[in-house]
Amino acid sequence: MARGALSPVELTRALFARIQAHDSRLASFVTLTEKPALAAARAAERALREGKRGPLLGIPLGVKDIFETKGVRTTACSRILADHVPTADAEVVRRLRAAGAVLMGKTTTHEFALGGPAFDLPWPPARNPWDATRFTGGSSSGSGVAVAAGFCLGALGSDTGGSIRMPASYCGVAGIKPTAGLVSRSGVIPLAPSLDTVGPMAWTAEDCAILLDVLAGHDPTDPASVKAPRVGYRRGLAAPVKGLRIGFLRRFTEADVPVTPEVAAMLARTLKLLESLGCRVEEAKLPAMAEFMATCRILLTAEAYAMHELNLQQRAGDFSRSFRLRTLAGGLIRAADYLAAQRNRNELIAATAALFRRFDLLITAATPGPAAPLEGQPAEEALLGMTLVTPGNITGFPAMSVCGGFSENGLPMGVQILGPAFGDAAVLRLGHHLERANGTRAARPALPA
Amino acid sequence: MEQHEKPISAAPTAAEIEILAARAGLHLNPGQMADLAIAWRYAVQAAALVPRVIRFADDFAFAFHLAPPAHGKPAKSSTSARRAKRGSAKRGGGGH
Repeated sequence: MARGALSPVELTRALFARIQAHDSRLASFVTLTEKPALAAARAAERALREGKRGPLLGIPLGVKDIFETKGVRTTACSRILADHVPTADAEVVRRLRAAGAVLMGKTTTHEFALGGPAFDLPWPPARNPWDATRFTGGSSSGSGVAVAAGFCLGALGSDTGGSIRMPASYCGVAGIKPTAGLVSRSGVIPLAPSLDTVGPMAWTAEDCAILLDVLAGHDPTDPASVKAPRVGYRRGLAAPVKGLRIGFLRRFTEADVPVTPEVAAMLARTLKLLESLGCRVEEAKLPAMAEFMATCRILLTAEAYAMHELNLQQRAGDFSRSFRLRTLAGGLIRAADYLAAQRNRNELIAATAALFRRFDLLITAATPGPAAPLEGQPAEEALLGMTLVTPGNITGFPAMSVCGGFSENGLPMGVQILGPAFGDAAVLRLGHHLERANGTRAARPALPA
Repeated sequence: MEQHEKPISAAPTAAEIEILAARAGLHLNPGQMADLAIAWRYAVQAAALVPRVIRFADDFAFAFHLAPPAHGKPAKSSTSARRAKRGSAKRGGGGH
C-alpha cells in the first residue's frame, strides 16, 4: 500500500466480495459496515497519496460484536441487546480508527462472550473455514473465522476464559490475550470484569504485534488499565530466541487434560523446533489444571451472573440455553466461596510468577485436539470440560496461540505460549519465530466456490 | 493463624433448588429449573476443588489498592473520567 501497488479501496471491495461469496455459509459477521468502510478506505488512500504512513492505514479489520461502535448496532449476539446502537466507540475501536484502519463490520460472538455455539438465537453460530461442519472455538468465533477465511486482515477479540486462544487454535490463526490491564476494556460489554481481557487476532504473530502496538496503552476510563512502559511489539520480533529458557508444561497435556495423539505429536515437533532455534527446553510444573479451572469457574460464573442478574431474573427465556447453563448457578454461589476463589487466585498467581524465575516462557497446547463437530455436542459438556487456557486468565499473564501444525484431516492445532506479567513482547517474539520455523503460514483454508 | 473454611455442601434436591432460585429472584420454567440444577451440581464440584486456607494476617482475597496521587494533584477517579469521556453515551436495549 505504501508503494501504491495495492489500493485500500480495491482491497476493501475485494474483501467485501469475498464475504458476500462465502459468509452465508460461515456466518462470521453479524453486521457489515460496507459504506463507512469504503469511506475509510478512500480516506486512507488519500492519506497514502499525500505521503502519510501508519501500520494500520487502510488495513481492513473486524470487530467482535461486544465492542461498542458509534452508530453501529452492537448486539453481543443476544436478544437482550438486539437493538442496541451505541453513541460512542469503545476505546480500542477509537484507537483503530485513529490509526487509519478500515472497520469491515461486527463479528459473531457466543452470547455475551460466554458459552458455546447456540442454535436458539437469531444469529447462527460461526462455522470453521477449514471444515464448515466443525466448531470454531469461542467466544471470539467470528473474529477467528473472518481472519482465517481471508475476510479481513485482523480482528478484535476478548478473552475471559480462553475466548481468543481457543478460536485462534481451532481456526489456525494467531491470537494473544495480553497482560491484564495492558489494553483498555472501556466500552466493551463486560462478562466477568476481574477476568475480561481484550486482544488482537490475526493470521500471524507479527500482525498481532502490529495491532498490539496500536491497542496497548493506558486508559483512565478503564479502572483496571495500567501505566506500563511503551514497548515496540513489532520491533521486538526480530531479536533472536536463542538462549531462551522454555518450560514445557508436560503434565497439563499428558495427565490433567490429555490431548489427542496428533496434538501430542505436534507438541513434540514444536519442542524439537524450539531446540533447533537455540532455546533451552525443560519440563515445568504449575499447580493442577483442575485447581485453575475450579477457581476460574467460580469467579466467572459469579461475576457473569452479577453482570446479567436483572435480565436473568426478568427474562431468562430470552437468553440462549448455553448462556443460562453457564450463568444461572452464579445466583446461588456464596460470597465465601467467591472470596475463597479470589484468595486462591492470588496463590496461583504467586506460584506461576515463581516459575517465571526459572523460565522465560512456558509452552503447552492451546486446545486438547483439533476442532470437534459443531453440532451434536451436549451443552452440558462445557460445564465439566477441561481446557488448557485457564492459567492465562487466572494469572492475568500474557498467553497466545499460534498455529503449530495440522491434523491428518487438515484441521489446525494451536501451540500456546505463556509469559510473565508484561512479557507480551517475548510471547509474540517466540510465536513469530515458531511460525517461521514450522511453515504453517503457507496453508490457507480452501473455500468452496 | 490459619482457618480451614468449608465449601458448599453436597448438591441440593430439586425442592431445595427451587427455594434457592426463589431466594435469588429467579423465576424459571421447569426446563430452566432443571438446567439450574445441572449447573449447580458442577458449581458445587468446582467450589469443592478450591483450597480454603484463610491466613487472617494477610488475606489475599481482601486486597485493596489506591493509586497514589499524581504530583500533588487530586486523583481523578476512573469513574468520573469515564463519565466525562463518554458524555451522554447511554447503553440501550433492555436495561443492560
